Amino acid sequence: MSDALSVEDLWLRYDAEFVLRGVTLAVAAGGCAAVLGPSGCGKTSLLRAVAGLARVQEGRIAISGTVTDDPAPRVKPEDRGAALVFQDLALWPHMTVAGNLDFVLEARKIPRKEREDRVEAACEAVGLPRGLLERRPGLLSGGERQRAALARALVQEPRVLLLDEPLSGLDTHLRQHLIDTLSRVRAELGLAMLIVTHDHEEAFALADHVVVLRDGQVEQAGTPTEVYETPSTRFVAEFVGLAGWTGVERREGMLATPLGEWPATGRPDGPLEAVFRPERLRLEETSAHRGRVAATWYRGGYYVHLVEVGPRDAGRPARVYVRSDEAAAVGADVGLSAEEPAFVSVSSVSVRKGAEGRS
Amino acid sequence: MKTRYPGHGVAALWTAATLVAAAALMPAVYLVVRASGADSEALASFQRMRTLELTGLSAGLAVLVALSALAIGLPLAWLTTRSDLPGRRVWTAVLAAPLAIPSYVGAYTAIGAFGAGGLLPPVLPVRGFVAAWWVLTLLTYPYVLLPVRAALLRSPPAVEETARSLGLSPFQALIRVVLPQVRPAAASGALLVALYVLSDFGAVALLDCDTFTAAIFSRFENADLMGGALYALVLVAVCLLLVAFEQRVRGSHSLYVRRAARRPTTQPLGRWKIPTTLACGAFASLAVGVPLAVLGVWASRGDFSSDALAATGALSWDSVKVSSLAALATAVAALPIAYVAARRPGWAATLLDRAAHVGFALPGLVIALSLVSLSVGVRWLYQSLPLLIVAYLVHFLPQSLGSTRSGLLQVDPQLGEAARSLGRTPLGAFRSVTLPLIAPAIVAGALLVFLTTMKELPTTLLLHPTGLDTLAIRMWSYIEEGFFAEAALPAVALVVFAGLPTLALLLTRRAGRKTLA
Repeated sequence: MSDALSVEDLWLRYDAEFVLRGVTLAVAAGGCAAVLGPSGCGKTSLLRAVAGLARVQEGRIAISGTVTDDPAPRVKPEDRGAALVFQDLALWPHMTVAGNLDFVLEARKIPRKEREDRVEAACEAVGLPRGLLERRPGLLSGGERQRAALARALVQEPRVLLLDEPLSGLDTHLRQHLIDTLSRVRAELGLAMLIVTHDHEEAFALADHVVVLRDGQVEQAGTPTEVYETPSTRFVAEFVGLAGWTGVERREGMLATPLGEWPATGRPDGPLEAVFRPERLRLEETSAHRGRVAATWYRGGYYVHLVEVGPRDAGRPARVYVRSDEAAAVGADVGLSAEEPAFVSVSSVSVRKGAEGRS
Repeated sequence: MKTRYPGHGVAALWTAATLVAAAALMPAVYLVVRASGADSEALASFQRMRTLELTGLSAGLAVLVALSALAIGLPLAWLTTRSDLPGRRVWTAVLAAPLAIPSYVGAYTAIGAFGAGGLLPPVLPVRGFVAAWWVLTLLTYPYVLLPVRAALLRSPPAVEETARSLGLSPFQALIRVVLPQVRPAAASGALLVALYVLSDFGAVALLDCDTFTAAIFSRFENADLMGGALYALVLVAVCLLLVAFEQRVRGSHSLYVRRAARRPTTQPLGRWKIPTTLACGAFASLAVGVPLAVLGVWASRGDFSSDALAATGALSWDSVKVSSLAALATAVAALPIAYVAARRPGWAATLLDRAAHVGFALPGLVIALSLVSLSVGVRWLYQSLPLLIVAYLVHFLPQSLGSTRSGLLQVDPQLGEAARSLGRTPLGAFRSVTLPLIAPAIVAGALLVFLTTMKELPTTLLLHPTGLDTLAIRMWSYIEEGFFAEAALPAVALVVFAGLPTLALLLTRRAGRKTLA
């Protein structure tokens, strides 16, 4: 069975600047991929290209096996079956929610009975109360609007659902609700989704495949666990979770860090850095690896300590989770014990392939 | 973000926009072609004429009136938005009333009030340069007042409050933070005033003030089309100079601010409250009260037989009919250019947009003159209704264009894209999503064109088909023949019909305020 969406070596330019530089990714049928990256990395442009709203200069896009761009557009936006839910939703303000949902079905001359059934099913799927159908979008709360936009996309029975920052701007409670809704929709309808977001928690909660995008290039792709636990660069490590890092010295087959030594076998060549995740560190009074608590904040149930280890200019303080009753004061000298960190190649000097040639 | 599929829609859009822009350029192109064919004899007679003197007079009057309109409009805008002046909303409506008074009606009422045998003692002159200055100032200050007011209402109070919290006094905050924000609005308002004065024909003619328009008209009446074209070119050059000056003053940086979420804080006037209110009252009496009173008195002396009323009714019908046609045609013609300017920005869109604005800098008299000359050999076209409508369209296109374009800019393109991504065709998405959302802006632009067409005199005078008799034409011929009382009834009808759309524009908050701004 072909992928629900496949994007190959996509290059996209606005004016003189390329915002996508050879992006390749795939969403399996019924799968959910998240494109994760900081603002300006090109993730929204990627969604627009897939939806047919932005024209690409090079590459190939296929939806459910049908080639839509290669790179000239072959399928119009309205015929792609790629329903895009915009970040600010773009609900049509002059129509009721029912009008928003029914609008495209009506234009496609679908029989009334079927339209009603589909609207009903879509509302059901996203948990949108029927009572809201006659309201205008302006009178809905943020969460209700999000559901209405989602229902409007689902009612088209798209081949792939494109979501631009679906959880941004919602409070914690609503976010959790919507994560449940999206996961259920995906499971029940077997609908493939492509999500773009800058929030790794959002990506991990919704997706089974994560693509980290930086300056229009894929920095790393993999399962959430792979990306979190074995980041390929420091950028990825810091972008997908709390991390501290230190410099690494090679010493007689060992990699030495201020928090311990580990064998060098099987590591990449060249200069390396050690990335320490907080859950792999703990305070240990007797440890020979010492540091100073630079700051501390309460996260509910536990503290995060920022512990300075090693020289300041070659690293970022280690983050350590500390139980409330074991918390240390700022300025305290503490001992740290570390499990094996992730070793990453020094990425700041990594050559960004092809970037110069084409921009 | 352009996506282009080979299709007829896009081509049709650009073709329509190009055709409209070409029509708008027609009078200007004619002038240049005509004047470039001038022989030495024509040039010599042009030099003999009082060209330099008239240029100085016209430009001087335009600048003087623009400055005094600023001097009146700026404080009034501040008083009606930021002070605790009692009844601010009522003042706004009253002070905007001159918008509905055509210039020749204003001059007529000024003569009726302060002229020989007038209703009031002759304390203000009604002949010559000074007369034109004060009468035109009282007619045009709303073009500064309204946009500056809108800019003041849009400017977020936090900007001013930040300045205060950082240690500026209310006055310092006003000068250093608030005024710079309204500068673009004030500059474009003043430009409107200057162009209004330069292109005015009715008021300066009635008040015996020699300006360019009078000279052009007399050339035209003497069938000296070449001389008229040469004069017109000089006038256009002055207009373009003013437009360029305004762009410099306005500054090129955009001062985009979101709509203010809160009402701005008001500045208490304290012991100045009563004197200020009285001053506003005195000013409003002169600018609005006197013209309306004169109209009322003259009209009450006039003929109220059923014949006269029926005649006024027929004139009104013709006026409304022509103005509605012009408004409709202009709204439709503006749509393609507004769309490419808002949604397909680039050099081509900019070019079309600029071309469409040329008619705005051309006085109505000049546009009418070139269309007369262009059509004089074509029997079915000369003095036909379609040609009159085209003249209005060329002249007033920017009004409709501005409103429609800002309406389009306020509609998030994503709304249309969402429709595309969910399965609608481009045309379907435009018709069902974009068009309903910009309808208020289109209507506001059309109302503005209706209002200005209603008031327009020279274009109508020169191009009206025989048999078509509008309020403006009839009023003008009464006044020219000295029948002041008879002119009153058409004048009242004119002010009423121009006043209704003005009121509608002022009251419809979102679209209207922007349009008049």
